[in-house]
Amino acid sequence: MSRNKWIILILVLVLGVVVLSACSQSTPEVVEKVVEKTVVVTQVVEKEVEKTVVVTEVVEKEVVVTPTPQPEPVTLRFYSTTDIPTLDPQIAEDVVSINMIENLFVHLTNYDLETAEIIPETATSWDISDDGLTYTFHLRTDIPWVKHNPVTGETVQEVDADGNPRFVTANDFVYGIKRACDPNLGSYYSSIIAPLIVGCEDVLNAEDPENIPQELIDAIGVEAPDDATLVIKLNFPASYFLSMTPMWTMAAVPEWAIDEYGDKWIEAGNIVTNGRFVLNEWVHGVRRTLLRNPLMPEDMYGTGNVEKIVVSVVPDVSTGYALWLNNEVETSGIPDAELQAHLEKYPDETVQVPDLAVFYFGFRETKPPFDDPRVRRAFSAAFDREKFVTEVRQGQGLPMKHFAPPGIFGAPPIDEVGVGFDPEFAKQQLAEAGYPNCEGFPTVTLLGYSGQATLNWIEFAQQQWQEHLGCSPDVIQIEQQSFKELLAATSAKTPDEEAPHMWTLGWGPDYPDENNWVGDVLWCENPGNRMKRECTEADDLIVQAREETDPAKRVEMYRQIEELFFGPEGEMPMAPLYLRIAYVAQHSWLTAPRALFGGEQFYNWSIDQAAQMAAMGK
Amino acid sequence: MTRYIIRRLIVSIPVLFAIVLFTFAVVHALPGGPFSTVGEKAMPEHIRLIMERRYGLDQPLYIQFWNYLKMLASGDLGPMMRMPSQTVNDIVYQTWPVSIQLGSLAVILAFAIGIPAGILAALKRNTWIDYTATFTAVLGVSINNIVLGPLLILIFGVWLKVLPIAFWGAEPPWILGFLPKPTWNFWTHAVLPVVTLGTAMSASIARLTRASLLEVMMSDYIRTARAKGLKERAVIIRHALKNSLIPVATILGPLLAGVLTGTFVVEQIFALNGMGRQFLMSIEQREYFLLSSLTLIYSIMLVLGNLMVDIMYAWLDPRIRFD
Amino acid sequence: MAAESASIEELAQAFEPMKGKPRSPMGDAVREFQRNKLAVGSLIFILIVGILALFAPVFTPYGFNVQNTAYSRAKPMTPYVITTDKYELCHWKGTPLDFGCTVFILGADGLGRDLLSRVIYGARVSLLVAIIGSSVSLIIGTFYGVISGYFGGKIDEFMMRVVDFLYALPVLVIIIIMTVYFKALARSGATGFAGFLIELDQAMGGLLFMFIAIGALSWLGMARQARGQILAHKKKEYVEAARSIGAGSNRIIFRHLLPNIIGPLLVLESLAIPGYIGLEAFLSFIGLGVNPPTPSWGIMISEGYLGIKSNPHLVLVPGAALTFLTLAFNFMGDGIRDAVDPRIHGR
Repeated sequence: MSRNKWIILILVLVLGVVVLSACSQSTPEVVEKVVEKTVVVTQVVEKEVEKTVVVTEVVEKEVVVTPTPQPEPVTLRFYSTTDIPTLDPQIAEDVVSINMIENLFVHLTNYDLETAEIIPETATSWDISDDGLTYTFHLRTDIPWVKHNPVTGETVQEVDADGNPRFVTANDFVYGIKRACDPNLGSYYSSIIAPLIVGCEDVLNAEDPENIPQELIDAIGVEAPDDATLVIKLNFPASYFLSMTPMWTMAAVPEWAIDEYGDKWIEAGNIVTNGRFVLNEWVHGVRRTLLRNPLMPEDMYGTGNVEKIVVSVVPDVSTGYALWLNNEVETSGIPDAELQAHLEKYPDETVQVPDLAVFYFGFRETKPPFDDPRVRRAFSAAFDREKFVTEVRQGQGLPMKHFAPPGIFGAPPIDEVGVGFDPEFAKQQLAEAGYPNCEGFPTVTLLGYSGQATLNWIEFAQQQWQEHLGCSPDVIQIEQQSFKELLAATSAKTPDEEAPHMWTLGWGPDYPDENNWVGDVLWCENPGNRMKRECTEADDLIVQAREETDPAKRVEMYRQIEELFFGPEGEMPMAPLYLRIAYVAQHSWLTAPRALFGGEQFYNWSIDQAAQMAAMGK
Repeated sequence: MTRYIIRRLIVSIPVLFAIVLFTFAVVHALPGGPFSTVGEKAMPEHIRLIMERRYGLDQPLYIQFWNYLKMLASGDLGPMMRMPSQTVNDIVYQTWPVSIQLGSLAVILAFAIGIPAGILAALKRNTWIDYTATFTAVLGVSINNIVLGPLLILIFGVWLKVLPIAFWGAEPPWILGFLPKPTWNFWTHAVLPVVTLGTAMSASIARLTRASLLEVMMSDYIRTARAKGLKERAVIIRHALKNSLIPVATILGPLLAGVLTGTFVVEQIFALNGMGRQFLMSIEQREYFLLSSLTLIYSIMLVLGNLMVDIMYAWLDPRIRFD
Repeated sequence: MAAESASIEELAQAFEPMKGKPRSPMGDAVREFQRNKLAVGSLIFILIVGILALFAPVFTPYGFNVQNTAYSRAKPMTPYVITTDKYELCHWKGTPLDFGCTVFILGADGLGRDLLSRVIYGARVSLLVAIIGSSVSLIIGTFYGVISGYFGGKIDEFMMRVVDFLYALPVLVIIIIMTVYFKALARSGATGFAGFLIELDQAMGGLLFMFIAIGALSWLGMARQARGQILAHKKKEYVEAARSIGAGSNRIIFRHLLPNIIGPLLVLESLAIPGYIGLEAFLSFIGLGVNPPTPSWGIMISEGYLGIKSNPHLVLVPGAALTFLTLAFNFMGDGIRDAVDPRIHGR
């Protein structure tokens, strides 16, 4: 009878609802478990040694504790727009991962937040040989390797096969650096350090990456004469090497844990760390939680009071900003469109954070009409950077006339080198190139990547070139591609016919030295070389400058190089546009000194918990 | 019946095969690979080659495809190339349930609102109730997710501050592998995304119910029932409702499949870690295995959804028989 | 999403028993339609939007890409000051509407472009998608379905297997993948026919490839419906009569069958239009739509969504435009259906 069928159908639907809601009885259990976790943590914080004893105590205490709420740990909450791909220091290459790694692992040295100088971290002091080729680091040996158990909430020091507690030694750094030279890791930053360290490049470029001869690995110029001494030998006296030593790529990593778990060694519960925080939870695509490492030597605690960090994944800044408005996160980026209103409403809860990224239009130097430097100069000089920054970026940036921004060693002062915006000069150059008032100019393409931010520039640029050069918007075809497609389309390997004439990109520093700018982006022998530059005088200077040991001379050489590129007679392989400075929304109860390089040092961040709780209505 | 189901499933295998082949070919034809970029920088050439070799991307496409099929046959959906500590199976385990939960809640909401509204409108035909319900339904069908989602966030999250605007209130480990822990937290977080996704559906179900019920009410057998002297209430409940809901019930299948692909926008706007978001990400990142596997999963859901419709239709309407 | 809702309706229709009864004359349907005030109002609304879009340069103060960055994100009815050469660009210069040249009637977007102008130009994309999407679907679908249904037998079986096969594709997923591929193809600098298509696409602001992606799978429902109609009609007496006096297949199809089955197909297609509009908006929203600076409502919404907290009008204006146009197409579609299908109306 079909009526019965109907009843069954409705039952199925109802059952679905019931199944979804029926399980609610299990909730109390969950709550209790959470309480139990926090208890363990506080216990461990108090006692450093007898951890096993602590566990047995906790199990008995559990019931007693439930009625009296424990004080909440001081919690820092923010979000990232993506999940982190990795927590492996040698593999990490994105800001979000590096932020986590900075707090989970100690590095060889550290950046000073105020002066951007290199200051001690694991290495308490260092010597540089007179020829500039040998760096000797003296390490402290009281930093323990720890493992955090997310289920019990315990943090325990690792022990070796003989039962001795493990501390960070020079050998761990040797292992880490040699690991960074291994091409099989697939790490971008390998190729940043490899040219410097003796033997590293031989391993990285080994003919058969699957069977790298042991001699090659042994020949890498990193040694540990004893637990407290690390010696690194360089290929040439690269005066910028010290500025690279705080990099995550050269951090110590636990060889035994990597051997045991393979790729999975970075998952919560497996990971062995040595930093100020431990990984308590990593719900992929959703959230990660860090807790203070109770076993860290006291003098390395940092100046902040943050005890717990919760980082959620929020793909959309607009949503993230709404979370900030609701006091659900401490700090957030501000979508461009909200900026004006934000600055009016919350002037005291706004901070400016420069990230030293410079954005530019690249020119394909081999693709007519941009094979003519005068055309490139014209297009660069016809872009009103000041207006762009104030009106489109709403003040979030500084106009750039040359490539490297202030704060980078060797960068000239921001307004001294380069033509910048000069409409008269632009018109004249374009006329000299044979296109007076843009007459007869062929159709060219300008490629931007997906995302509103770049869409705004390319549309603004189109308008600027119409206004200052007389080029109709029809002549400049603008297109948006995903970032990957843009990089593929502009690669030096892409034939000219398929490459765009112009494209927009940004460059953020890997380490704070001019060599990372002109040397790693513009240098003609650099494998990137998207502009397809021919080698010139400037390139000879780039090679000389990176081996020059006298800082004053280096500064002077870099000034010359920038002039050769961006001066009135310059080659103009790109049109530098602006240095990005982001306004960031930050609640007044958070004190957060930001890092220019490397990851954010959350251990130096502080929160006024009373104010935070009050705002959350607790 | 069982034979019919088995035959349908067997027939759908080549379909799934072709879909995977198509997806596989198209994504590999896109410029750039998983290892061509690093954040905002380009990966050095030789490292890119090494990594591509590790995942067999240097081999001819047909061999890669064959290897992928072998992997699938053993239940392995493939590695995550840029997130080596995870596999595609892990990602699917984390995100598929979120999409299923969102989708099924939206469907339940759609039926819970749509059917009563449709019945009411049909019974009160040509009264203000009917006009209001019908107009609201058409409005509901017409308002796009990309308008409704931001609007709801603005009103309930930002202005009134009564509902959370982001995240899904549940996360792995799931109950039975796909159900959330139904905490208060879960329900409050679910409200806005589910309403965003469910509005259009409930509106179209309401329209469908109304039209279908009206049609049934005019049919001959209802007249006969009335002529027999049955009370109007009995006529409606015993005869009209049942038959009018047949077409409505049978759209459950395509509705489920449609809704599961329709979660792209909702997941993005409400920061849900669902499969739609992973799908868009996998295109951007060129995670070939993830992309192909997600496409396969979507296709399987669609095949099963269509099959479900046919079965349910036969089950509800005894005139249809399968051979 | 509207795309889904349309397909639901299609499906529901597909489950209804084939309509075999004689159709009421065209005049009846028109009269029936005229009685439906909502549908007539919607039709008028759509026509107005169409005229606005077609003659956008007359009805907008500025072109869609005239920037005034000093006034970015201006609220509605904000007066402003411009340079003379900007004023020269104003379509309304020297007309009674002159005031519109220096007032952002609906506000301005992030680059200080007049929102009113952009919304009106944006209607072009939505309407084009509605027209082209439905024509492609109608033409291909009808053609396919008629051939399959009329010739029957092995041909029918094969053609319907193909449709079944395509039906099993997760449409949205395939459309996204295709769009991404076309976007990449558009950059590849191919020559020959592909090159021609690429140039055409660029000239259309990226619309062409989107049409191809949308159109490629949109005709399936139509093909099934057309076949069903043909099957219902081909055994009818009038067809038999035509055949008996020696009419050829072409003549039977075009003179006898098509005029009789096209009505319900048109109804079905008109109900699917909101789906195409929604699909375009969705694709533009996730960044796979038309090329900038061509304005599309989907792009404008995704742009505005970033600033919805302090500038809700940036979402509300294009959002309202999108909603109202979809609403109008829905009402019109319902009106046509009710007018053509006498079962619900007129008793």
